Amino acid sequence: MAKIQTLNLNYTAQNNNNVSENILEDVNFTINKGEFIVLLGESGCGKSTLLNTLSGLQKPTSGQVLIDGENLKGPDSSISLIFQKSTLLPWLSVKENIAFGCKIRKDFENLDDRVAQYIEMIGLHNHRNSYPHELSVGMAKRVDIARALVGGPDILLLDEPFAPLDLYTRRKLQDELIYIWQESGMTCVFVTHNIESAIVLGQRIIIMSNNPGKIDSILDVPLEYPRRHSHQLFDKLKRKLLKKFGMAFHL
Amino acid sequence: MNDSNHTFKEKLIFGIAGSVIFLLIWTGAGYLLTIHPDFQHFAGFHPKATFKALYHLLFDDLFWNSVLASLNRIIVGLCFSLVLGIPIGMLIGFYKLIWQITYFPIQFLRMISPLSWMPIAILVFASFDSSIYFLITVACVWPILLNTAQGVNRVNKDFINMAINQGATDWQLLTKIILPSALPYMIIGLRLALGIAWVILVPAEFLGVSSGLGYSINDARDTLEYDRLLAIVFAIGCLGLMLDSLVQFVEKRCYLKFMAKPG
Repeated sequence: MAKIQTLNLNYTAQNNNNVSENILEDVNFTINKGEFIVLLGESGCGKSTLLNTLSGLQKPTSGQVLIDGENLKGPDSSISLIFQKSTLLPWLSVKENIAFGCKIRKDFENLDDRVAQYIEMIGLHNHRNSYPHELSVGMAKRVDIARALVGGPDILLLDEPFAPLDLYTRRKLQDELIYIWQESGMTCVFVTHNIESAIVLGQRIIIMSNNPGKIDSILDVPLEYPRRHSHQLFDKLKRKLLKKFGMAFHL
Repeated sequence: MNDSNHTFKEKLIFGIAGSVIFLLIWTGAGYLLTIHPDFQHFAGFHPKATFKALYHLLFDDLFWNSVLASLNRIIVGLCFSLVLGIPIGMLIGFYKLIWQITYFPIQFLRMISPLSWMPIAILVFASFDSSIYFLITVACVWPILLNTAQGVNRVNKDFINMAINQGATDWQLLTKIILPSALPYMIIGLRLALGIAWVILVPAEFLGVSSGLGYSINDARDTLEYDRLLAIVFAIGCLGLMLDSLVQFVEKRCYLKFMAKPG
């Protein structure tokens, strides 16, 4: 529901030895409304920095992020971010955690109903009054997702959200995420270093190179959802990406 | 459930065993002290005499007035410490610059025995009561301040980013994320402060006030009532234990609610 554009994004930071490092260099891309984009790259290539910049949490050293043509000035409630580590507040129950964002924005309209609806959707009705330490990692991740969605964001940014999960839970949650995205029509940007996840999820995969973080290339994934690993094209794309990383980083 | 019952039973048995050993050592020490004919007048230090005096104390209005006077001083002193320690601790925990600037002065002041301020306190404050409030505050502010600072400093940065992403204002960050995160640390600070306050109280009450447990000890010494003296000492220990258990109870509840458990 919103188009994201980046114009010559640069981000420079001081490292531990007080030497300034280019984390992002001349990042330019356009993400269409309602598109599912995967940002794929090695750990430390600046993809999380890029995602934080898209969320407005981090200001670029130079360049701009345009949301529907407008310059992004700071965090915006229409852009929701899901972190790698679960960020459920330990002193709030599942229900209260999901309502947290809406409550601080004073968005109280039908809040109880909306929260209940998302609890149903993530299948945690019996755990709605549980506290985060009583949940498994997969359940906690579902609550993170529900909290990010309950405010009805136009853009959902995900920073390796499924990395701490086991393979079964990850595949299940990936399918659920695709279903939610198709139902809602949000624009999704998903950061990962996992090639299979990238192919399962992305309509397009933006491949980032390392040191400094740059856009290497953009790969189209012309496969129907839900995507199966057994598909011939899946395998072909996987080989292509593996080869790309092998060549790009001399592995 | 079975396991926790087991540990409770163990706690009880070992607790009783410890108390019995304590009583035996006390009896032995009392016996050794009074074996010499010159020390016969110290017979009041025996557990039997002490407990008898303690029983009398329980029906003594003067004793309960002393307890109330002492508790009042502790509470007022702790309130001053909280009012000073929590905001300053939060500033120190939040701004690295303030932490760096205040580090040496705080470590320096912290190492000075609060009782060293006694002569100055008497000069500066009009009443003895205010001097005692001051001494308790000077002793208790440090653990509260430093623990608050540590709690604020250790707030999960992802929680802050999450709240900002969800649209939190600075005030909401403070009240919805930082304060609840730091609360368990503040309570640890409070518990340490309470222990220190209780220790400082008795010498502070030697200062010249005419109420309180410290004063009662002095009074019992002057009137040579050693059984009463030791009974008050015993009561101080019991009250301190109760106060600590109370804060420990709150601390445990708070830990369960506010701290993320590993795994």
